[in-house]
Amino acid sequence: MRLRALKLGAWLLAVLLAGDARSAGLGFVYVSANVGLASGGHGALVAGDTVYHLQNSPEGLLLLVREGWSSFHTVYAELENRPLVVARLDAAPEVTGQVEAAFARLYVAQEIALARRDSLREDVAWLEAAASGRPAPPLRGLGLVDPQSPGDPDALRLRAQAGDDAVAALRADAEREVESLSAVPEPGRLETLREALTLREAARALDAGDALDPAALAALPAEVDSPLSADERAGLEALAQRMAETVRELVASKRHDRGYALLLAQARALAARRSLAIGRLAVLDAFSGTPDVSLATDASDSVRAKWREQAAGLLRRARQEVLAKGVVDEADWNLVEEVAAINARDGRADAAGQLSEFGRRKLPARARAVPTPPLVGDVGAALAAARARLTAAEAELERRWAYDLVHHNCMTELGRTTDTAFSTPEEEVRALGGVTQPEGRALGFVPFVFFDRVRESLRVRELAYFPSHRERELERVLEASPGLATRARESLAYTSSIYTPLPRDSAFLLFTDDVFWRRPVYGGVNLLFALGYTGYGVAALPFDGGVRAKAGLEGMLWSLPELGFVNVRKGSFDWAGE
Amino acid sequence: MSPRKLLSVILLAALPLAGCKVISAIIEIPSDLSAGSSRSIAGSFDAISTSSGSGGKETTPNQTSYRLDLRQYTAAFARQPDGSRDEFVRGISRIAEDHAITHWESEALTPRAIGEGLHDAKLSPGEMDAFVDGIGRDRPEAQLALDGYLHPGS
Repeated sequence: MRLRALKLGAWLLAVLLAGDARSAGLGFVYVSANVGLASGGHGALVAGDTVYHLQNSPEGLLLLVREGWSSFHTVYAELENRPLVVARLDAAPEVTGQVEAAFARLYVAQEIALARRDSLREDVAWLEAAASGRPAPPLRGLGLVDPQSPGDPDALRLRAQAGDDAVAALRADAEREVESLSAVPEPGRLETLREALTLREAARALDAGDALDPAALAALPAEVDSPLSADERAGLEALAQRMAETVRELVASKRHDRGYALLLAQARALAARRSLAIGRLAVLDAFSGTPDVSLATDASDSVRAKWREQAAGLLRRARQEVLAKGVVDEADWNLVEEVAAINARDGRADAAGQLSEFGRRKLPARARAVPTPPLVGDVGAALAAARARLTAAEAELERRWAYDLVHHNCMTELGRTTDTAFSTPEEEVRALGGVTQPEGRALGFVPFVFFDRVRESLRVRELAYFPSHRERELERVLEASPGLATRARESLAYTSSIYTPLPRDSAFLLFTDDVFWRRPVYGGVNLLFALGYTGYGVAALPFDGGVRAKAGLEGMLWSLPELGFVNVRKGSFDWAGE
Repeated sequence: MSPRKLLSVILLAALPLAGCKVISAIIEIPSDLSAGSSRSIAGSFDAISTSSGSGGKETTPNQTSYRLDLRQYTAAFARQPDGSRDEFVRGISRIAEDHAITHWESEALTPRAIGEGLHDAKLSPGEMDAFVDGIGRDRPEAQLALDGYLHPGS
């Protein structure tokens, strides 16, 4: 009991002394539980300002996500309202580098395996189309320019800058390549055929002087579509010149897969010229190559308005930091395109796609179908072979990275990947003080058990506590208006000035994350409230599709731990400010 | 029973109800995805601002991770018993596009990271010489690759 009290004291001291402990070195992050999919907690590794963690993709694969601390904190501590604890390790800078390299290896292995799977899926789609006499699927990037509008003066200038003869030669070479490849419908060569077709179309568009397709541009709302300043005009002129140079270099390149890069450079140059001509920003839509995702949300009108304001602010920042300063680096310019795409979608950055895309950059890639030469040979046999390859690739992905609660979850892989940074367990012990995921220890897949072991086994230099959104706001509110009345008001979900009840948080009346001894009593009240709410939900079934009944049932479930002094439910937020 | 042990028991008991999503760390709430992406972009602008403030001397996190990823990719590819030039190029393109780079041949970081990866794959000096000769020893990218091989960063 004494030891326990001492440990608690040390913990609290660390919490009180916690500063911005994430700013340097290596550490493990524990993310507290909340209801729903977060009920088991979560964990991550932080190195400098980069956070590494594993998320379960919609298709059941455990994929590495790499993001900045600020976005990780915004999502988990602010919106999901889950306190974070960082155990900062006493590790040398070269050890941090070693561990980061191990996570980069995992990231690259997953990216390459997913790319191979995607390519095999395309092979199957192409051969299915050929077998049934349908047109081939669209190719990405081809929809950035419009073959119905040749002879565009800006596009012809691009061709001249790249060299008329060089462009004509590239076009002729690409035509020949397409012809020779289409004679062999062998699955392994279809990717090469798609690359050759894309290059042929890029060369043809450049040679014919195809104009930019207006549908490839982001439709900016009027309130953010202000006229260009002198600095912005200079930035766009620099961008247009840089893109013309890129087109020239890509025409001269020998890279077989440069067709998409060439189309994108053409389109960016043409969009910059259009901007200069109309005096307003014309930017390619970065999400144009992403399949349409449902933007249904139960967020309130005020939250939606804040998303729009935030997106408008990002565009102002993009214009100031990138455009007006003439930063024409390709990756930096893409940020402007991403922000324009968000503004064009009512401030919805999630329009970029589902979880597996989270954290990845999005490039404008509007697709278009083109007539392709018929595939010669036994298409049926090629299709069967392509399907077999795809099945094998998917099985391999599952074998390596399928989610499994006990053996392959966000914690087990965090530990295993850290371990792979070291050639032997002894080396890891020297570097970190212990082994992160010692085999054979029970319950290592449970986030708080994993984190407890990190604290006990590794050389932890300090613990830093990052409060949840409600904890932070509650402190602010109580400072401004101390007293029992304020505390009582804020402890009730329906009277709180900080929190607005959301169905996904389950039905509850009293917050229990900031009380301990009263928790079972509050839990009992919550249980009764949820029971009543379920009855109300049943009556409302014909009108709400069961949303309230589900919230009521879940409310009962998440009240049970509270009866045993355990808090899981904390509430969540749709908006948490900057 | 301590509260934490109790929570373990509750979680395990809840598995049949919640399937295998109890500890799955999925982000699927639109506001979370939206805010995370927006914050990430804002962070990138901060990095651009810092980098341009230093006269471009300070690399952005995007550049750092591109170099690290490409280095790891090159090392892994070089260790494979087979693998064609086209496959290698496709892999570079995929990794580069994840970092919003399509014209990766013009990025000085590309040959340098490839050289570092070849060092990690323990390419012999003779093999590296052959690689550099294959590119054209006097070309700047060959020199950058050689520099990455001889002086890999940590």
